[in-house]
Amino acid sequence: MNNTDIVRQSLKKRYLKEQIFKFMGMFSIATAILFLLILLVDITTKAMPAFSQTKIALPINLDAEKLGLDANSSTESMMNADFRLVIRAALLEQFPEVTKRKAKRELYSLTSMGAEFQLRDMVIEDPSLIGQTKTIEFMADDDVDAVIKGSIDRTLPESDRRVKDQKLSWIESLEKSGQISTGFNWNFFSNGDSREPEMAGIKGAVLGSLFTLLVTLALSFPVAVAAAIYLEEFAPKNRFIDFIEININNLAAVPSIVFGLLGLAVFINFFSMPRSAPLVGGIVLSLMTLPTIIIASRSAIKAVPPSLREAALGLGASKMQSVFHHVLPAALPGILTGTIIGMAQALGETAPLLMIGMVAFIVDIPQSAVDPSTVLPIQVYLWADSPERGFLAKTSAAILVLLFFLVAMNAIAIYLRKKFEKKW
Amino acid sequence: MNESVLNELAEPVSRVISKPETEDSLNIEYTATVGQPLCDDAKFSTKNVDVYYADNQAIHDVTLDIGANEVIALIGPSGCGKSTYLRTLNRMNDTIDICRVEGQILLDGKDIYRKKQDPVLLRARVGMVFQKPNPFPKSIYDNVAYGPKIHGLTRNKSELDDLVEEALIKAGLFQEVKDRLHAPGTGLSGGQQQRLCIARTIAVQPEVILMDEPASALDPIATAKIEELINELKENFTIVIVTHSMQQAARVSQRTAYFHMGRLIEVGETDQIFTNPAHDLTEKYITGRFG
Amino acid sequence: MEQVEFETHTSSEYNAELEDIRNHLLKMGGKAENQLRMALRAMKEGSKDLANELLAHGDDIDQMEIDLDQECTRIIARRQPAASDLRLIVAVMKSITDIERIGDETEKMARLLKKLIARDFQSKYYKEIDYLGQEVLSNLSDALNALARLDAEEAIKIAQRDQVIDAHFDELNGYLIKQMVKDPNKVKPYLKLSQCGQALERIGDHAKNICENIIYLVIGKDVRHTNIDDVKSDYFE
Repeated sequence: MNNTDIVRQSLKKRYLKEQIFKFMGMFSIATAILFLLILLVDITTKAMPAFSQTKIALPINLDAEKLGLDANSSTESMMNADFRLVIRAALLEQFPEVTKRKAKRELYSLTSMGAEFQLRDMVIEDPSLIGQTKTIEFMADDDVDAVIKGSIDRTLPESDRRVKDQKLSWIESLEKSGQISTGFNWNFFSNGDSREPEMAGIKGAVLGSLFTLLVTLALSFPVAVAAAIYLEEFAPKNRFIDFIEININNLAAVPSIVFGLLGLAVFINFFSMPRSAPLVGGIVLSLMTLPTIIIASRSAIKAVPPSLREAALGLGASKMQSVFHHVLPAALPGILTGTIIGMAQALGETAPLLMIGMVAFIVDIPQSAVDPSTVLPIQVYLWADSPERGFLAKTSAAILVLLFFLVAMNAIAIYLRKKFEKKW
Repeated sequence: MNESVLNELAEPVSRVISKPETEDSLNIEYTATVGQPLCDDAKFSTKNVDVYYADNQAIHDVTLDIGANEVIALIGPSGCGKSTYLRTLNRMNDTIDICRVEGQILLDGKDIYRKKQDPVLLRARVGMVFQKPNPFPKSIYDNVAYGPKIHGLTRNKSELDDLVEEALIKAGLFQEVKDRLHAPGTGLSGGQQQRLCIARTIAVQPEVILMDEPASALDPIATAKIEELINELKENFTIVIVTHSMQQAARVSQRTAYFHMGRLIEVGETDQIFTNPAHDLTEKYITGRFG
Repeated sequence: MEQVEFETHTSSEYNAELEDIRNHLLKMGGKAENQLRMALRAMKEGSKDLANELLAHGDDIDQMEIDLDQECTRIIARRQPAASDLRLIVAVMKSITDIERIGDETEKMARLLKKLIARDFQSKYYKEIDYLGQEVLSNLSDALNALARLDAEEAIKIAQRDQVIDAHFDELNGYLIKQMVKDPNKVKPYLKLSQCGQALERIGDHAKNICENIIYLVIGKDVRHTNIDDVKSDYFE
């Protein structure tokens, strides 16, 4: 047997091994994609109801007497007026057969708690409405919403159903008369948090996240890049610098909750900074992101070919000039990618923020970095914890929003890398 | 035929006197530098230079003058210290922490390692061209303009434009790139990139240009252009060139210095080194017996 | 530079090529030496056959010159020889021209001898010319030996000896001119004898050239047109 034959015999085995390896690789990728798809499909289907909202159209008589208002009333008196009265009157008019106290209360809960505020805002906007009768669409209560969207099964026996027969019959009669409609739920994006699922929105959390990230970016990016440049280009090689390097690497591995405790002890208790504020959240998160950005920036700086530094030095550039004119621009794509990865990490972080009180229930939309607020992942956590049926969809919808931001940030990272990347 | 001649043919003389090449036989003859290391109008004058990397001595007691407006080639096998020596001349070795230079290196009679000497100023006077063409990832114009800009050599844009054009013309590149001065320098061919790097160096108007194997990454045509350029540049500059190509050293230089194991073995007129080297090691290296 | 070695290149093929041209050069030198010896024998024995045989082989040396020239050109083109290798090639290319000329001179002698033999010319000066010839032969032979051994010191000594040959030839020529004046009828044969002597003197010059090439090859110094005694005192004493 000559060499060719020996080689030929071993070939089959070698190709087989290669095939097996390729198959295993494809299998693992396929599995990963499958799980990702299941997750996405599950979340998306669950989130869909949160993006639409059921509305009930009612002819409302804005009786000036009942409201105790007229066209010239001050805004303050309008704020204090009880608009519930006219909505209840309208509902009673629809279903005149309801007379019992208990049944009445049940009837009034067809519209959302927010209906009176909706009406109030309309009247404040246009006081001439007072005294007129107008058909107005009100947000339906989350139970009604659930029935319409089919998440409460109407065929179940009454005892197993959250919405009782009487209420169901009202809903069906309203449906028949065409007074019930569904539309896109703008409120989800324009409202803050609420106890009522149909009124709860994500805007507060989105802005809270935004303020937190801005603080994080403003603090961690300059500090981390400066630290990376110093360590990589200027620091003398000695024990002390080695010690610092090791500790930066260790810092990256510290559990994030520890940073939260640190934030609570130092920033809130010692420096008396406001609780639940994006400012403190941002400071804590920047502590956590710093090592990530430093490590990424250092490796980006290290990857800049030494020939570029030598070229600049050879022309008589000072060390500083060679770093800032040539090394930094060349390392920028890597630094930005590292920064965005760090930011994405910060965006998804929950644990340290729990410690500094950003887990509070906050209805108001934050206007600045010192207003109390919450952030997206904590909003998800809060909603997931709520018993109301309507919050299930909201949770999934909030997760979708969070994922959207993460994907968008990664896309920006890729775009920046492509844009600044230069061949040499 | 003469009997003695026949005998010689049967047993060639060389076979009798040749001895096996061993490390010992190569290392024994470290004497003082052979040839003429000194010259009358020295631009650089190095005396008893030792260079250490930590505890490792890379250069041993090198004494060598580099004359004004001459092209001197440093040759020798890999790791012989010629590049290290070159880098001591503009203190590029400063960037290496463990590197230590001893002895005296005088530029126009002044020690460049004296406390008062600013390395940045020194590098503006002693420019360097590297082995691999390394243009900045910027436009051709910006590459050449960078040096004059950081040193503030020009007062306004039009002066800078003129300086850039002059440098490109001197580097023999202007005709090829005049229509795309703002195209990236990295888009040029290897030979053009190297000439761009030379233009960039000339733009600072140094007195000495150090070249570290400037053509080793280039094809023969591009190499020929670089060599032609060196020939033209010697009118205005003193050029020290490290090269692995002995033919290149023979073609471009007036003097040649041969380094071996960190020692300067022989210096002499290039004509003499390549026809009749005085030292046995030089002879062995340039005739291809080791290295 | 005490020794010149051709065997220690990194490229073994290069070693073989240099060794080859050296061997061919020596072979060519041996050939020329043989022809000179043959010419002298033809003169001594008055043999027309030997002269004819010599002329018949005249082209061999020319062919060897062409081959060696080609080999040298090839080595220059392919190896770009430097230092001692370069000097070897240059010395070889110059020496083969000299050797080829030596061949030509022996042929010239053979032609002159044929004419003298045909006329059955007798003279006591044949012996003188033979004496000159033996001197030249020993110089040439020693020069080729020095070339084989790359012995520059020996080459200098041989080159010095050329002065003796020149003096000897001048003396011989003087006698021959006297004879021509004395016996105008025999001017032609005496002139031919004189030409034979001149050919030998030329061969001596070529042998000296070969010695100079050896000196150039070994010590890297061009000693042509310089005082050979100065060279000797500069480099060997």
